Amino acid sequence: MLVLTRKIGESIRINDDVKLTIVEVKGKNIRIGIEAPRTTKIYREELFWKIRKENEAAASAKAFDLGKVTQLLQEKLKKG
Amino acid sequence: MKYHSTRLGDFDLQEDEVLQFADGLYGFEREKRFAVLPFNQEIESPLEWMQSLQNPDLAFVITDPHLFVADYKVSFLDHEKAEIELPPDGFCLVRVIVNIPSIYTEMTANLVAPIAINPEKNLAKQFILTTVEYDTRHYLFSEEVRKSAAPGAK
Repeated sequence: MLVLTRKIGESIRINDDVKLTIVEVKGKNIRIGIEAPRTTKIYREELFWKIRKENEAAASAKAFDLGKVTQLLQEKLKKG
Repeated sequence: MKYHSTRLGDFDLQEDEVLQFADGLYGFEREKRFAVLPFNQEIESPLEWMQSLQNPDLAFVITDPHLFVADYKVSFLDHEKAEIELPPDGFCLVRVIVNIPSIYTEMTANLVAPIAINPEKNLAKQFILTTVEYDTRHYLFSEEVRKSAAPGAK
């Protein structure tokens, strides 16, 4: 991991078109501004891992009764 | 071509029926080829199986989120649609991954990371929605139903 030290107001440029700026430091919280093309995906790391873990949980679900599950859902969808 | 699923047994699939994920799924980046199979051979169901063609043990349950969440609004950006070769006004199917625990009425859908499918080219991609307040574990059944389900009910 590349670690750089910045002062408030200073920036880091990634791949020419992504710019991170340290906007504010308040106690333990650091506000980071990001300028990037609309096509760039940006999200908090925790969300990224949350999605991965949720996919893994769904994939490793234990065997279940297909008929019973379908029956419950049919009942639910009928009721609306 | 013949394939095998640990849960569903043997099945046949034409190459043009293969659902292709160029980037795999989050946590399963190497899984790029899937079959969408009926959930239950005997009865129609709002659920489907998304079975990996590379790993017979790997299958996801998916569903159309609009069946359960009437106001589920997801609109993919032009560049996201382009990733599955759809033009900006192109029609795409939306599916979400369902997690079925041992108490069935507690099953949930991941509304934060839906799967967009180009139905004509069978290209798919999982996207993370960052602009809306949805749950990775959205209950498909109402609280009423969940509370009335006997503990351990199956």
